[in-house]
Amino acid sequence: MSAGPETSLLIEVPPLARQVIQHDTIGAAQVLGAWRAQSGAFLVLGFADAAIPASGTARGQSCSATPGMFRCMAWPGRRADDGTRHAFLIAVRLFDGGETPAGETLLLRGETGQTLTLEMPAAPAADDAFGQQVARIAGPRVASVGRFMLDMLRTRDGRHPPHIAISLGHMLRSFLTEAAATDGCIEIMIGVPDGGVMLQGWGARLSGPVLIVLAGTTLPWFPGHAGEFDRSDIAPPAVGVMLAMPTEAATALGDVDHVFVISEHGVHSRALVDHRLLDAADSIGHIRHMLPSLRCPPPMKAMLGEFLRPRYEGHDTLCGSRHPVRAAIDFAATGQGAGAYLAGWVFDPDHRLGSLHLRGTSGFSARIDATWTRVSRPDVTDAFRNTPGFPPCADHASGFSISVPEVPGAGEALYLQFTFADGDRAFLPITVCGLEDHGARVRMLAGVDMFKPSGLPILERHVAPLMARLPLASDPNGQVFLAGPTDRKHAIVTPLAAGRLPRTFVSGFLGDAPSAAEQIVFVCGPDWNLAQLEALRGMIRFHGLPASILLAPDVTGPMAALRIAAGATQADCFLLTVPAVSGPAGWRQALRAAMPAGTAFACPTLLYEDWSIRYAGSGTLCFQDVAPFARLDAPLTGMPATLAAGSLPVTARMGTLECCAMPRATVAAVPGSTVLATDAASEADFFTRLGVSGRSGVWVPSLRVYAPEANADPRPGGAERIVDGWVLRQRWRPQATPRTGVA
Amino acid sequence: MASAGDAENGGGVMRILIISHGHPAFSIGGVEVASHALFRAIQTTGTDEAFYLARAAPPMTRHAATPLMSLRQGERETFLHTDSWDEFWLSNGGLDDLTNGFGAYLDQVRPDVVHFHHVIGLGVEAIALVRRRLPSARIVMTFHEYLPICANHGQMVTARRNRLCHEASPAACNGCFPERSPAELFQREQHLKNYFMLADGFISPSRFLVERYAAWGLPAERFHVIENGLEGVAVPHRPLPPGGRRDRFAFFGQVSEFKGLHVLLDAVTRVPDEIWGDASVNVFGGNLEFQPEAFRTRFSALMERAGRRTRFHGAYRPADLPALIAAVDWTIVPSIWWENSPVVIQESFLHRRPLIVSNIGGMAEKVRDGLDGLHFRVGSSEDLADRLRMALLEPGLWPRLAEAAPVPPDLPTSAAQHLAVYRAGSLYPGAGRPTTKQNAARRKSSAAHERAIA
Repeated sequence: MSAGPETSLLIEVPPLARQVIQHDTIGAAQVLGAWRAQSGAFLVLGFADAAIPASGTARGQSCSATPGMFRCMAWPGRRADDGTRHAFLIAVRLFDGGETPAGETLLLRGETGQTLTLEMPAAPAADDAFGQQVARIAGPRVASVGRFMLDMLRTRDGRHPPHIAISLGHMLRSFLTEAAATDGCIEIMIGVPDGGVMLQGWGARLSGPVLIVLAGTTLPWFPGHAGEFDRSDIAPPAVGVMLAMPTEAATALGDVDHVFVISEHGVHSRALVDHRLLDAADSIGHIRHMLPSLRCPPPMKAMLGEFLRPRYEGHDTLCGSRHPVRAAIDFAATGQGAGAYLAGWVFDPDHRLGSLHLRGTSGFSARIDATWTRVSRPDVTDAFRNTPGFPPCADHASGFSISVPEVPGAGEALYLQFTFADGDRAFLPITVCGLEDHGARVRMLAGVDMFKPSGLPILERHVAPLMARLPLASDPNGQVFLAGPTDRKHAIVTPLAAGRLPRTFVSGFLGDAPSAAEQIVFVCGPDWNLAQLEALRGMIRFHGLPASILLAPDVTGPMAALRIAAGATQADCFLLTVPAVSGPAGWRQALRAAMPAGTAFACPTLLYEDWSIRYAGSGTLCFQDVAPFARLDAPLTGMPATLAAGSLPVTARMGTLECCAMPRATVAAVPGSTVLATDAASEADFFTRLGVSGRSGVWVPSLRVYAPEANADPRPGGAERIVDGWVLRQRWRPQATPRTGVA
Repeated sequence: MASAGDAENGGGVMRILIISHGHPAFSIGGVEVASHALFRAIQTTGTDEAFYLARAAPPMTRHAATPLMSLRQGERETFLHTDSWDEFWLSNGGLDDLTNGFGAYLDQVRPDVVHFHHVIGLGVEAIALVRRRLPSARIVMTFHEYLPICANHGQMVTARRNRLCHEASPAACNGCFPERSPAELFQREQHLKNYFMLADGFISPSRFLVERYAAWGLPAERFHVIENGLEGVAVPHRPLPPGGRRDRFAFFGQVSEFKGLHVLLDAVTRVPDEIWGDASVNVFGGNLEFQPEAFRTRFSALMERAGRRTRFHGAYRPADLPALIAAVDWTIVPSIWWENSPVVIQESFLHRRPLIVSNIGGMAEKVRDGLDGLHFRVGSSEDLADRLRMALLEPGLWPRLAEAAPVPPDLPTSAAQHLAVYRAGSLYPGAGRPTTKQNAARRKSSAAHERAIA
């Protein structure tokens, strides 16, 4: 029976209907009334001499070739005037826009072949009259009939229709009003966040599962449970009654003035005497007070018990918990599309904790204690050594790190839910940062103690997979701090780190001034303060350089600087060079000239300050199964410069972002950047992506420039190198080909 | 490597700006004294004009509107106040003041030659500014020590153990300055060379220093060796009583560890009493109170151990030196670093006092062992003690050495040598001798300048 676009006819025969129908026989029926729910859907009330088929096909005289469907509920009933013995209520659904066959014959054919013809009335019954009539004819079966009707009106997902038709509402309300006995009232409405709705009052005993119809402007109904309790102010046989409905009922309480309850034995009418809804805090207390005296079925008792469990209210309840369990989060972060990462400690010397979940206020949930990696934290053990209530603990493994692939919703507040073995709960709010921020990723890696045995497992199991799930970082945009020329053909792009003025780089232009076709783009990260930027601007102005200063939104490596510059200028060709690079007069022009058309990039020979080789052509990205998982094999690095011999450019698969000329097309060929911790890994990833896209460059051995390493200890930290290696291996090992420079 | 005597000698009035990091009126250092002396000497030639620019620094207070000041010095002497000095990079962070103050001064004076005696305080950027503002000017730099090469006060002595450093490299310098990476030290070197290569010529008082800078990477052919000129009249030798000995030794200079006083004081105690007799070592020098506590403690202990053999006289003014050296027979220069050309050597030669010097650097170059002085092994108290014994015992040694002392160039001679270098060709187009028209304009502006300040 369909009362709206969301409703549909059930396929299974409801159990209740089977109980009524004794056997299928062919016979005649008398129709008392037919009520139209909507086009092609209607209810037929009547009497039959024999039992009616429970379900089957239906066809009207003027209907199309496609048969409809019917469901039937029948019950013993006698029509006084002619003695027919079965009352029935049939729900019919005709397809193909067939209308209610008023005045026509409706042919029903049961699944086993029985047929029944119904002579339809000339006009459909009025809503109210039909409802009342059904109730009267239903007699003692009115509860079953009511359930049957509500079943027929369920939506495809089994719920009541969200927008019930007015006519259906009238019909149902008249049915219920006629059928129901007014045998109590509802005094209190109790709404529990995430826990359901209770209606408390008094009345005749109700027991077991019930259908609760909320009568207001709409007429939604919900499955629920009924319990009872003694009240000294009510005379027997009336008792105190508690009805429990699911959470979604809370939204329908707005204008409810009446409640109909369909129990096993009848239909009950209970008016709301007070529209008072207890607030959440009072609700919990009220239920806790009621529960000991409430007699209710186990499902309802379990539901109420769940109501009484502590709920997250936005603050830390662990610190005052009676359980000797304490915890703290050292670092928490989420990554868009990648999941979440937590590191901290949980001190539970008495093993009271049953489970630990990371949860969100919008429903996010992920269990973390099943897959976390424990970390030795003797400092935590020591801190609780003499704390009353905490037993001695010899196990220092209270630390943990965990990453989960589930992604919380945008803006969702996160917290830890500690569920103890006795069912009690405690909560700990968490402040998270976003892994899109470079600083957050640095802190995440810095928090992994590589000197502990847990260090490598944490990286392998949690940090690296999370990093690998991070989406490609989009090309950043820079903000202009100093506007220089942006329309020159060649751009010299230099990322500047942490307030270090590029003195040598700038003074290098004294003997090798920029040509008319060159512009200089300095890209500074957020670690530059205004005073430093002004000093840089002063330096540019003093030397009269054709330079711009762009501000990057995040800590910037060479590749990000290049992309920012590409977005801010119109240059055809870029020379990406770190500020430590210095070369002979004319080297920039020579490098560009050595780049044939169609080449992706050109790099000179780079020498360290001790004259040994830093870069001399291709390296190979190699992978391995153990940490650090990937390394760049560059055979000539550190060797005497004489080994970097050659007069002509040589094809190279791996360049160096320390000093690299490339046309704009190369920059555009690989948009976005893999999120990696080190510049070295970013470099390897960039050139591998280029190789995979079919592009290669050249190394110019005869052109030598100095490129001392900027940092005092340029070796990346162990954690960074391992995570990057893992991510690179994850991305590129399957794509190993000679052309990509990957092994 | 060209010497000053080979320089082209053309006509025309040259306007020369001499720049120093300090003024002898406020800071008594060898560079200040030498540079100011050169300035005065050029002034007295009557053929060319000289101007003098010195750096002023906090705690001196500058004018609000300009970094330029005169501080009541001569009419062609100006000060440039700077306070954003980066010692490692030899860089001036106050570029606006440099551009507007120093640049305006250059525009006003329009020198034909800019002679940097130092860049301390002004910064290497001053060289670039001169080149840009005065494309035709000749830029000359005098190196007085090794500050561009060695970040340890320009001494080329290791920072931790005061050992002589023979060659700079990023890795070696990182050993002295572990907080500075080899890369950073390499970049410092490149940075300074980028500016120095803008200069047309370099001057050094010693060949030793030239060799060091050439090894560092500056072109040797741009160097000229010119000794600092000295003014003054030789004082007579100390009159000897009958049977007396030339046994009055003296140290003149700053009291610092680099000057090797500890070597001298230790050597004094190693000479046996029967040889020492009533000889004495007189220490003339200041700045003891600015030395590290460890050095001061050690100095005091050594002085005490030396007892009556040594006398500490404290600081002195350069003008006092003739009177002080009059009572002295020998001058000792026990420096443990590569002294370039300490003025005390020239002063000793002027007054014909033989020298006993460390056998390194400019000391060994200027003083000829056994001819006009004696060498001892640097840092060796025993070797110095042996020289003291020789000086006390060997008859005829002192008069022979005194007689052979070379005559140091006087100020006019030194000035003439400098002028010859100034007149040599420039590396940069447009530079050269001033034209007649420029000379006329120059004389006119000079007259206006003198009227303005009268």
